[in-house]
Amino acid sequence: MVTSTEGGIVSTINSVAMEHSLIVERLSVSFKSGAGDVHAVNDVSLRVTPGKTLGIVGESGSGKSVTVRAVMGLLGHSATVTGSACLDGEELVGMPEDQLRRRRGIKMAMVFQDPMSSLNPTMRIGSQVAEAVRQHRKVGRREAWSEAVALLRSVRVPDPERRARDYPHQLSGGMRQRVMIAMALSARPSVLFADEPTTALDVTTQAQILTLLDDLKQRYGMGVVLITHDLGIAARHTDDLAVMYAGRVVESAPTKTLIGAIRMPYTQALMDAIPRIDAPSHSPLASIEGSPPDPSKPILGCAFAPRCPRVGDRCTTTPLLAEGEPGHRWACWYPLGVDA
Amino acid sequence: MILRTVTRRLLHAIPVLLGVSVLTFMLLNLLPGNAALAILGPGASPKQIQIVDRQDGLTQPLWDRYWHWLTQALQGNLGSSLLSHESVASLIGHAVPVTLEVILVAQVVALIFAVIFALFAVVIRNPWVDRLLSLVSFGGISAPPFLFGILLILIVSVDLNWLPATGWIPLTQSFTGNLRTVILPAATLGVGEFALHTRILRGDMLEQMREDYVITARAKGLPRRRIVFVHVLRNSLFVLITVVGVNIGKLISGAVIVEVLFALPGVGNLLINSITQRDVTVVQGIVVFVAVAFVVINLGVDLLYSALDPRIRRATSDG
Repeated sequence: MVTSTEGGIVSTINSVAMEHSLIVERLSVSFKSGAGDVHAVNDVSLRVTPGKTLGIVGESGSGKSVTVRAVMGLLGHSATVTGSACLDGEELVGMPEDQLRRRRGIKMAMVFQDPMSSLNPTMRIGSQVAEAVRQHRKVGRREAWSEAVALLRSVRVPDPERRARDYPHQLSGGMRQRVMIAMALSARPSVLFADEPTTALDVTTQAQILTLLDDLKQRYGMGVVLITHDLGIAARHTDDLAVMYAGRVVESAPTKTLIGAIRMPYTQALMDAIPRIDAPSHSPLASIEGSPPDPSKPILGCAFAPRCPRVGDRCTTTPLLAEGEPGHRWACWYPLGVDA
Repeated sequence: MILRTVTRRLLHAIPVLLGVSVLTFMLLNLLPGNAALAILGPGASPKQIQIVDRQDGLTQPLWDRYWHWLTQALQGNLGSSLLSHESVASLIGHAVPVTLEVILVAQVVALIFAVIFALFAVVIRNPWVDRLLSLVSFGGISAPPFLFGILLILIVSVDLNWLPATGWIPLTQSFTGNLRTVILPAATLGVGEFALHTRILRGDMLEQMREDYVITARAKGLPRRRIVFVHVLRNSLFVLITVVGVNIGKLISGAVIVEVLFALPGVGNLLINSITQRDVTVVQGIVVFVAVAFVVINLGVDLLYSALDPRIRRATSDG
């Protein structure tokens, strides 16, 4: 990598430090288990820009959620996190829990997949939002409550004064997810992690929630990390994309670039798995053959090789994520559309 | 809506109570010996016994006697003791405050300690604290309550001479005196409850800690203490209320043993004495009274539960 552009690289890194709110560098997570360590995330590097959405795409078990939970410090004691996650210039990996806790909710917040189980079922939603408000600012109960109502209004919960007094089970899935978002927004975080925020919702609600996230991102200039297994959603609602497979980023680029020229066969397989509206009805849903590798076993070579249609001799050695074209990185020996 | 629930539950209670009264009536009839023998002594001749039996109405056929008892009981008349001829209602009336106080003190103190210990275990997260607590609660659940009672009597009353081993001073007579006589029986009765409640509460709180809403609370930046106290404890208390309701029967039968052990003038002691003396009307009265109390308390617990849990509250008011 040492070339004549070395000076250029240094200056890019400096400007990068300024323009990104979250820089994840070579983050790895392993879990201790009876049958040896499970390597859930390996050498993942990500960058989050204020006012932009980074999409992390991959199948279940590809390490998307574990990555962001590791950044938030929400993994249990059985997890070992190495590497670096720098939020607004502060290193989060290795930060004591007490300090990390003070940054959760304020600097980074999270919206989860299932808004029913993610809200306390026996607490009024207004109280749950107000609780977040009071956690970050010294305000009285009444003030926190009206702030909560205002937050609910800002995420377009209709009739927020009345709704604030409801319990989670009295709301629809979409409304609950709005409550989760309101809660996450309470302290105007630099980065919002949205972990499959629309997976539990129907399609119409899905679109509403994603549009809401887009609006809020613009309005508050926060960086959003959108985790999804749906490349179609990612294509429409993200600015940058990182595709993960078996705990590694296997392709990353600005969304337009990536969708325009998919290089990694796995990404293409995800693309092909999106049901098409123009396909004849009752045509079988496309799926990716095989299943992801067992993370508790060591992976030799490319993890996708056993399922890959383009597999070749070189796939027995692990391909590294490298910039194949400006801004477009992939980890593949036989990338699509590129003559080897 | 609540009215409908109450009515339905009370209607359900009718066959239960009828069954209980029929069964006791039949079982008491099967017992060898009778009240006449208790009155006249072991030397009584069959003729004398028959005379007393006739006076007591015991020579009539079983179903006639049951029918007579039932019609009277429905009018609120539980009859009178075959021995002392005191009315059953007033006998029970005198005994109930004692039993009620022992049960209440035992239950409330057990609950308070259970909450404190379970919270401690969950907040501290120390494996040794956990192990110790498991051992204590497991012991408390498995050991029969009278064992603990005898130990208490031996240590606190006999060796240390701090508290009386037997007897009862009513609350109306002296507060401190009452306190001194209630401590040991309540402790004996409560230790099993405490052990059970601690175990269940701790287990449920640890389970709740794995719920998604706890991760949300952590992601909000709430300190662990607040998560445990405000979110988890509150939700786990619902489980505890259910257990308390289910366990009332056990508590009542436990009270019988404790009253005998500490010679308290409660319902349990009255019941045991009446059984040994074959005072069937009193036994019958107590059994039905306890059955009614059980039904009413359970209903109360259920109502409390639905009043506290918003999920149930709304479900019943909506549907």
